[in-house]
Amino acid sequence: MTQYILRRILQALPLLFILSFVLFAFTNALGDPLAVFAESRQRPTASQREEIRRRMGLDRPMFEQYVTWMVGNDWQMIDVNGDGSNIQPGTRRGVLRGDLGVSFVTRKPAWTRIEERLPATLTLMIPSYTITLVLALAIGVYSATRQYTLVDNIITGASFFFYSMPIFFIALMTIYIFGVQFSRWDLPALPIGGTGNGTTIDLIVHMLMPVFCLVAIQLAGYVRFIRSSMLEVLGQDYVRTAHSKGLSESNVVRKHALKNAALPLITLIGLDLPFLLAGAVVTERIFAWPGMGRLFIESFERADVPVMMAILMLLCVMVVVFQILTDVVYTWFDPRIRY
Amino acid sequence: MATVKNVQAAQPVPKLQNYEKGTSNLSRSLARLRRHRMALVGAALLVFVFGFVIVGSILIPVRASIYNEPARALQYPSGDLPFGTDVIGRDLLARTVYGGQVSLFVGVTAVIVQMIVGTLIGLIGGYMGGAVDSLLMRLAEAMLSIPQLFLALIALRIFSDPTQFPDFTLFGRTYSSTMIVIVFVIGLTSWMRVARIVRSVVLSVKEQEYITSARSIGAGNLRIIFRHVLPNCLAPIIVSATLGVASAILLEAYLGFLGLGVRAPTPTWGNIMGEANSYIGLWYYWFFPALFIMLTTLGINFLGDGLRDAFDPRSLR
Amino acid sequence: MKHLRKFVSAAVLLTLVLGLMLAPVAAQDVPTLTVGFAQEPDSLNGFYTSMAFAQWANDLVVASLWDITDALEAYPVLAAEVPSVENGGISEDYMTYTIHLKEGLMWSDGTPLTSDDLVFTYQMIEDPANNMLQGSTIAEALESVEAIDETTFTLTFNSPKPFPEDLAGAPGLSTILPAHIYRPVYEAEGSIEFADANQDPTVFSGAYVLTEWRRGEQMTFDANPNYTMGEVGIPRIVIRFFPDTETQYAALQAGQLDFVPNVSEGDKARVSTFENVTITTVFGGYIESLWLNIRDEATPRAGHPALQDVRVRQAIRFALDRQAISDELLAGTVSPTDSIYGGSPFENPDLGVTQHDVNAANALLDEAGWVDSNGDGTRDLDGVELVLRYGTTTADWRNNIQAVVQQQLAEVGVGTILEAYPASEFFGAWANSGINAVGEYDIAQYANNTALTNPANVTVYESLNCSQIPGEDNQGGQNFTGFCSEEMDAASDITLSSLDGEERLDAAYTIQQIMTDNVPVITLFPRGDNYAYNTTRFAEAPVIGSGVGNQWFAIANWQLAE
Repeated sequence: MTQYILRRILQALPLLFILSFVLFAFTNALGDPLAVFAESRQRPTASQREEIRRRMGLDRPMFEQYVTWMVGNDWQMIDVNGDGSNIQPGTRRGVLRGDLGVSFVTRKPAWTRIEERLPATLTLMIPSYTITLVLALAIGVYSATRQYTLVDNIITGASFFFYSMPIFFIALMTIYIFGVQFSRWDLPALPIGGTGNGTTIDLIVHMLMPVFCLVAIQLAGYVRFIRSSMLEVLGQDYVRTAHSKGLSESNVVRKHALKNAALPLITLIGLDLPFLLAGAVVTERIFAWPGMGRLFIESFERADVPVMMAILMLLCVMVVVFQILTDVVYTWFDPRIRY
Repeated sequence: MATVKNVQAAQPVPKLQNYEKGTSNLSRSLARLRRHRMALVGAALLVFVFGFVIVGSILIPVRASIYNEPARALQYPSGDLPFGTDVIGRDLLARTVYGGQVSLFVGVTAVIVQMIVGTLIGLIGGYMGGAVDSLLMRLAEAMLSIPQLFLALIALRIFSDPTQFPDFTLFGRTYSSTMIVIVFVIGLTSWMRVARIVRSVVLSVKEQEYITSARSIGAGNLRIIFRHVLPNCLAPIIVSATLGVASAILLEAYLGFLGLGVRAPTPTWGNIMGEANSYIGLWYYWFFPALFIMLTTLGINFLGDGLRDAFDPRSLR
Repeated sequence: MKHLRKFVSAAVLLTLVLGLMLAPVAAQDVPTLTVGFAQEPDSLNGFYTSMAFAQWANDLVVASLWDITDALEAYPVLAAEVPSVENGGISEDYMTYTIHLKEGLMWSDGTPLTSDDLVFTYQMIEDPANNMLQGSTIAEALESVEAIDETTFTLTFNSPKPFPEDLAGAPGLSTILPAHIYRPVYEAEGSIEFADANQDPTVFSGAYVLTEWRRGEQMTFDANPNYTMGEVGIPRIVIRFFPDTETQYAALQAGQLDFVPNVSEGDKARVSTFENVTITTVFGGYIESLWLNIRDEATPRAGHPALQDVRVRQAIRFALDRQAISDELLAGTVSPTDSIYGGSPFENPDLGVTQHDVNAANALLDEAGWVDSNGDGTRDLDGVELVLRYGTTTADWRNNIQAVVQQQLAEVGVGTILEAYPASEFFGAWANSGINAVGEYDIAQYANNTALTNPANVTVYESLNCSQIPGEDNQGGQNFTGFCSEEMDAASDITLSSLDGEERLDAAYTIQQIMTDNVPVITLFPRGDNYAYNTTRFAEAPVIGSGVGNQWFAIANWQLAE
């Protein structure tokens, strides 16, 4: 087992390196991080922009920037002014030594910015994912055992209703109804945006709308997935055998079918969990939720390469970790699997 | 983010043994499909949506979809303008029709790109095996480790540059180049699951006796692929394709919301809804594109579900 | 299934723990003004940001030497008086300023605020190691700075600086760094670029102090207990960040936000229909314009050849119905102008506004030789179609104007291709192939910032100056139109350096005339800074400052309704 995990990690390393290079090349092509405020009153002058670009090392060739990002530049001397008048040692240590770089926007370490946003994202994503899964299990199993009945068709239709709506629309509609119109009708309106004043009760109140939206649009996919894996299992011979032995319906479903249908579901969860860290771009934006999805978009809009790279690489690493974890969990559920 | 991804993830991996018997199942599948009422409802919905867009395109000149008249902005639906007007006084009926053209085009072609790339990579990987296979599968793995929306955002920002891809005119109508770019961005960021499905089918088919015998009588690689392997992959590819269309239409809408969709003034259902965000109190602004996105997604998913049940005999008890 | 249940309960537990972690106690019964910002400030050190929102947050906590009222008059804040030649604060040659601070000034932690803090601040501006985004104009102009005593210091410039009020809004005189906080950092690290206080400041000079900054969500400001310039009316201000403007407006409409600066032109009409919400517009010097690319050098890209002909440029101006754009698209909240000084006290009142005139436009285009010879609906000449690439940023209201302009130009046979770019590409540097920098446009729509306090117009001396035309050997050039007029440059020099007010104004009028005749830029309308607020929350209408100074200049006098 340990050996297997080690092998998986070693296999993942070259992949991570190649990914990091490709992503670095892409994120660096996103535009000029200093151009965003060209219309503001206090815009930096052209000469100042050049100077800052040089100091941030943005004038260097992309490959050189990548090497600096990866292994740092504290072992070389940097010509700060570009004319040999001011030569200083580099200060970057590189990703390999735990330095993910400094955000162009706040000039704080990229990792600090992620740390600031991660808790809020998890606070939003974990409950909504959990609720989605629990509901989907209940609905999916229910409709699989009653395939093509009226109830099944209604459930399928209803779950598609939300699935086919763009989330930004559901979200704004929710805000419009429960935030704006409720206060007009003098009903208790829900708070719009943010995480509240810090108390847990207030946090939960603020979570109602975003969690509802996330569950609404995710549910249909999972319901369908669970329904079809259940149907798959219910058609297997051993389930028929169990039936014929006179076991009760609920017993068959729970003891035999569900446990076997759980394997593909675990694969799916293993693929999804790392992406919970990425947050929900659109939902977080609309509900002004201080999460990772928003951080990515904000960094994207300002071409903040270090922060974008930190987020992307964090996700890549988490994907690898969760794949390995999934394999481990497999062995619990299915003793036949050994590594 | 997880949302878009999850929807993708929810495409089930079909059990392989069901395709072993090849085309003999097809006629039975079709019979089962006819029995599946949801699939018929789905097909009917799609006929309605496509019919609306096609008939609308014939009856309404394309100019009406971009003709603006700010003086008649935000008008309530009336006899002349049955869907009302938008914020700069464009006819929302015309925009829904032509937006539908673009959205359906993006949805369908993005999926075609996705299918072609996915199938090719799956076929090559599965058939060739060895280093090629592991390289391609590592590529798929790599692309799966980043949320599709992140990938699409970055790629779109880089490639939707009109200085490199200028707008083009086709049949006297100017299209935004972003339309094509989005098709490729969506297609090229979502082929991975298809590739995996196809590869696994190829792997199981490859060991079958009739393939070995075909090879033994000297059939070439291409012949084997096209005559024996590809037909066996068809079913899972079709199922996967139907489900992909809806995701592509929705993904275009998300990208539009984040300011990177098909560029104005080319309408899409997604960007009409994006504009309507500011006027959520005016129901007619968002209702029609929303309705059509929903009908399309519903129709396609019902049909896809039906197809899957039809091709998968075990799921019918 | 057992494991699933375990997993679920673990997840729920984890959530609760995280929820509690997020929850520092903050009971709120203090009267609070809740403000909505569309973006989160990126730094609370004014030298490290170009962001309007960051400047606005700074303006709450930082007092400047002097400030500018809503009537555009300078008045002293930390300084005892605004220096002038009359009061002896400015030397006869306008090269040396002697500035006296008020007595007994204090930082929020009780440390005295003295001329030492100012001298330190100027030293920081001048040291390139600090890698500041702001202050280069001052750094370049400043010869020396000297502390005379606790409350007096002198600034010596290398050229005459006739406008002290101008330096107030300029970063560098609005931000004053607390020397007792930054000096140890500077001495230890040789730079204050990464000082903690840039992000988490602890010491302030303004009416408010920052008490909490929940990243990505909100900032809480409380009245400065050691504020030496009077009573502060509102004890607490909370600034919340709403990346989605629709959510922000919904919160305003639902009464969950009290004050929203930066309402865009396109949203103004809609927001003003909200119950209890009023919009105040303060002109801040922005003029929305169409910039024509009349560069002729092929590298990297010349503008459309038709734009070389001044008649074509005039024809485009005739073809635009700017009044209709204003009335129908922007609810009549703006009015067209032809002046690059539009809306400012230096606008030439005799200039007039070109009226929409399709016949005049057609006549000029015909005269210039651009006629529709192949009957495709678009004019052409020598096989070149008159189709212009019309780019702007991705703002919705701008894209709507684009669509309307496209149709207006089509009526006179001028075709347009609409393009929209994110700001980081549109305004990007030459090295990044920025759209404006390398001339990948024929018409570009964006706003420039005109002068409000003196006739020296940065747009004219920077963005329309012959020496600023970008090229291989001038990659940082800011004159993206490529317009060059020696006469205008001479007039622009006068507005910058003449010590005679009359002469400066005359030069400004000359500039406006040259611009109107040559049309390198078609001004659409002066754009206000729009502030929306909930009237029920305020005891009386808040006085909001002009954007050239500090919008909160009168914040201490704002009162919440009981």
